[in-house]
Amino acid sequence: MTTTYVEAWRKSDPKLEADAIRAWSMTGALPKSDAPEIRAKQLALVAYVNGELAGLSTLNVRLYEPLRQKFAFMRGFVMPDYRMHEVGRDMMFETLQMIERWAFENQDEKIAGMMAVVQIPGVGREPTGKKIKATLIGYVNGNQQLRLTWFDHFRVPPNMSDF
Amino acid sequence: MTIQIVEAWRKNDPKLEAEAIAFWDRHQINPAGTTPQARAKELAAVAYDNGEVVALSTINVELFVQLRQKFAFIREAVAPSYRRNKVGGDLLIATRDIAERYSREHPEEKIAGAAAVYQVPGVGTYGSGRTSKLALVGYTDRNEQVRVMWFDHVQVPPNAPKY
Repeated sequence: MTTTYVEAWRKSDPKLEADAIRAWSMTGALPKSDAPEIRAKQLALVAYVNGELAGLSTLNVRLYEPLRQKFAFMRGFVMPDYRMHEVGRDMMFETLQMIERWAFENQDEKIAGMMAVVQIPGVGREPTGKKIKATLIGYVNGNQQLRLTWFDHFRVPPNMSDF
Repeated sequence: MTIQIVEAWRKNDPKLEAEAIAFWDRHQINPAGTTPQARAKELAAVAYDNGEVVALSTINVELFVQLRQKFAFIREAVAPSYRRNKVGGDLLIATRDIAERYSREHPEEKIAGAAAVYQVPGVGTYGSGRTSKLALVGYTDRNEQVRVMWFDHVQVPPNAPKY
């Protein structure tokens, strides 16, 4: 199985966005409160296997107050037929590589790292991932792990005032 | 300058404890919320330069509510004339390694990682420390960085109890 990852971040590519919307629509993956057209603007990567969409990731950049910095919050979606493969994990790794490079090239945006909420029960036994190096830094929504990877190039300002 | 670091954790070594108490007294460092004698029981490592104590560390094992696990909280005291060199950093790494080895050899104590509060302004430039591997996970009420490193041998329970 050969997976191809196509970068979509900040490209506003109509074909990739249409593919993503179709995938969400087919599977009913998005909650009703989440408009697919708006979420498609957050598209980061689309994974294809033999030309067929197997998964995708989105990024939402926002301030995370406990750490007083902006982070790219990643969400991953894998089509049902590919959930037993490693598409999800590999896609997270590819998304991290992509956004870290983008944040380095766009340092005026001051993105300090990538965050992800682990929503699949039983995933995340290693508190610091071996491949992705995402560290467990807390819990949200009851028992879902919040994972963080700080970007290597980012420097924490010496005197962070309280928010 | 040749710094020698001596392990003291859970050794109950009267000589090391007496030297620690004398060091705190000489530098007018008063352990907060406890007595020097009680704090000396938490002694983890002592750093010497030509036979003289120049820095020391203690470990207090406690629950870190944010991460739902017990961590080895490291404290350090460094003699003023040694604060401009890397004694503090070397001692932190040595103490972290002591805690990790102890945790591996005593799994029943369930110590998940090492933690430290950075009280020195300007220390902690990287989100994830290059050599210490301690990642910034929050701030104290006094604007000090809280950092942790999960131990490699630790596995997170799938349903970590909420405290």
